[in-house]
Amino acid sequence: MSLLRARGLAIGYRRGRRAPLTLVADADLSLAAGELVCLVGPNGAGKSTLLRTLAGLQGPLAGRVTLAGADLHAMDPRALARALATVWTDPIEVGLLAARELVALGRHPHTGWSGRLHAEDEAAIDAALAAVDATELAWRPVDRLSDGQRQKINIARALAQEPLLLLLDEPTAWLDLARRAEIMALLQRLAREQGCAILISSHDLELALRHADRLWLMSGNGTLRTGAPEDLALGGALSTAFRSAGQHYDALEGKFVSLQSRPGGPGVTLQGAGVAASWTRRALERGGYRVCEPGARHDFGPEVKVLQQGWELRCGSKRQHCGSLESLLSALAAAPVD
Amino acid sequence: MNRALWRRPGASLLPGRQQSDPLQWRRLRRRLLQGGLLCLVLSLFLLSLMLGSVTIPPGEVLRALSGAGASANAWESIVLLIRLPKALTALLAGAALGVSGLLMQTLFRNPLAGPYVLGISSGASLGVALVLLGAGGTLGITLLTGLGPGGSLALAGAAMGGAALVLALVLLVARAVGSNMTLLVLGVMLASLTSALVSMLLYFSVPEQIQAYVNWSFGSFGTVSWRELRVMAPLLLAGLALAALLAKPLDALLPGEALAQGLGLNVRRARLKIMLATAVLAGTVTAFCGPVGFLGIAVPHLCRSLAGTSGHRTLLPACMLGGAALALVAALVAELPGSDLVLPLNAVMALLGAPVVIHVLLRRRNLRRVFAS
Repeated sequence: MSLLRARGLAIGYRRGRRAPLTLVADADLSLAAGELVCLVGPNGAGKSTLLRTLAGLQGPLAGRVTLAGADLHAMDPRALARALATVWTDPIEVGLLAARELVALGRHPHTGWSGRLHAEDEAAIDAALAAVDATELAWRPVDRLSDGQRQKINIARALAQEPLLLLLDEPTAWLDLARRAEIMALLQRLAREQGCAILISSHDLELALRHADRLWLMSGNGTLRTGAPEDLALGGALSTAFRSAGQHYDALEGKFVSLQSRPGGPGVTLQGAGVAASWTRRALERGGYRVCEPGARHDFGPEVKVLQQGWELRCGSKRQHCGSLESLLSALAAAPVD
Repeated sequence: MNRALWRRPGASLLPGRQQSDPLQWRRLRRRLLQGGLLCLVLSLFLLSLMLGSVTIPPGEVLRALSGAGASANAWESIVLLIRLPKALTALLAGAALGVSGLLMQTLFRNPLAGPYVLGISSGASLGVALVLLGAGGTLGITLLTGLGPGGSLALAGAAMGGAALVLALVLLVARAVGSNMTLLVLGVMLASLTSALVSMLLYFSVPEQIQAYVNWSFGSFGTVSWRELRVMAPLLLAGLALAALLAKPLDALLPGEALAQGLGLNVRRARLKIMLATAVLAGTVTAFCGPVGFLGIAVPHLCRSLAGTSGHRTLLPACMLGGAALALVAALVAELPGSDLVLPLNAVMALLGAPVVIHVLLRRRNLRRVFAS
């Protein structure tokens, strides 16, 4: 039973007398409770427009969106805010409020005209803070929080609305890698434990692939495909959507690689195994070398051997010891190729 | 971890509670602030009945107020006919300006916003200028210099008309305009337009007319007698009541319009209500007391610093009381107690208030924290 359902949805912008700008036409979408879906796609594909449309901030060009059976774009704003909460990219600025007071704003659609908080509101606020592991931040001023903490509090604010559906637009855009993974894991947990349906738009394909139950993939040519992340990667849809000048999505490695470095570079033989060898391979590839296995025909190129401590570079009869990958790369650059 | 938040005057009063229950402590702090401000306003009110060109002892003031008849009959009429309406005017006008400044600063999320950013006072000025400068010099000058009983009420009517005209324009555009920032710029543009018209009128006026207009623009709480107060007080009380109902939407607007909408707030309707409350408050004050500036910008900053929060359930009452207190002080000082001189109110207000605001902002350094700019 899906919570959010869109039928024949077209999104975009009306432009007065000119024909409307359609970003996606005729999409059928659904989102179930307890499901975490990542919306991915290249810049300009319309991710934010889709989120704004699903959040009720702008109307669809065609089609109908229903949330728990009701037409989302005809819902009363307060009722909508009780069913759907949004977190946008920008770091939140609220002036002189404690974190808990910001979370308390999430109770607005539930409180009366004066905004007075009752016991159940206070309980919901505490629960939201606990859900994002931010109980100890409760009385800190919001402006003294780090970006990651602030985003957590903002998510707690959305949770305090007790929504059925949570929409997040690039919630990790301002955060470092570790914080990104932390927030994504947190959202995954919330979907499982609280039974929220969560839709996240993200640039970060690797994180999306790791955490999403399903992907909504916008390719930028007006199509929107949905499916399990692995299906989309295997079927080549991801590579197609993200193909751009010089970049290629490598389905085998599950990451982007630069097209320039692939063929043609000078060959280097790499000997060794384990973590050190894999990072050595990355360094060599980044340096523009073609890495060959020891068994291949390699007798013409330089050879790199991963040692217990450091690396050995062999060019013809010359041997050289390098203490770091940085010095290995510069030694390689100085070495005569062929 | 909470040291920065609690290291405020008064925090040491209850050393045990601040750790145990911050929520309780916050409520207590809010009550302390409001109680303190209320005491301040009451004592200033009493003081402004006592002090002036002649000093009247507090006992006599109370006797005059209770209607028991003061020992000297002149004192009774000074208290009841001059000082009481003036003090009430300062009280109401100060509260009105403080609150409308807060409304505008929150709506536009801008520390420079004040009651007049919507162009209300410029509209009022235009109305007054039209009467004083345009509609036949003799009438205008009689109105001001004579200050006959009907004079300031007619002037107030003209100011209200001008303010209402500008407000109608702004509201009309606000229905179509999506963003608050556009509205802010629009207000500034309308203000420029109306002051241009006023300049034109001034340019073609005779010195007596110009003097009359300038006198009006100095601002004064003293031109309001019981007659005018009967019109002004209900308007201001209605405006203050409307503002008091707006705490919730104002809080929702703190993180910005987009988020407020996500919280289920009808942003356009909330904006109209906020602008209407501001217009009634600032327009009425301008109509009866002239364009009293500064207070509306300063009081919200002072109150935010004192309260340590941007929450409007705390700030709205604090700004009412703080605005009333500052207006009473300014009116007192402008009187120059013990002398027959009266200084222009606007100048006194800025001279007194600006150093205080500068001091508070420098000490707290929280303007950037509040407005992220």
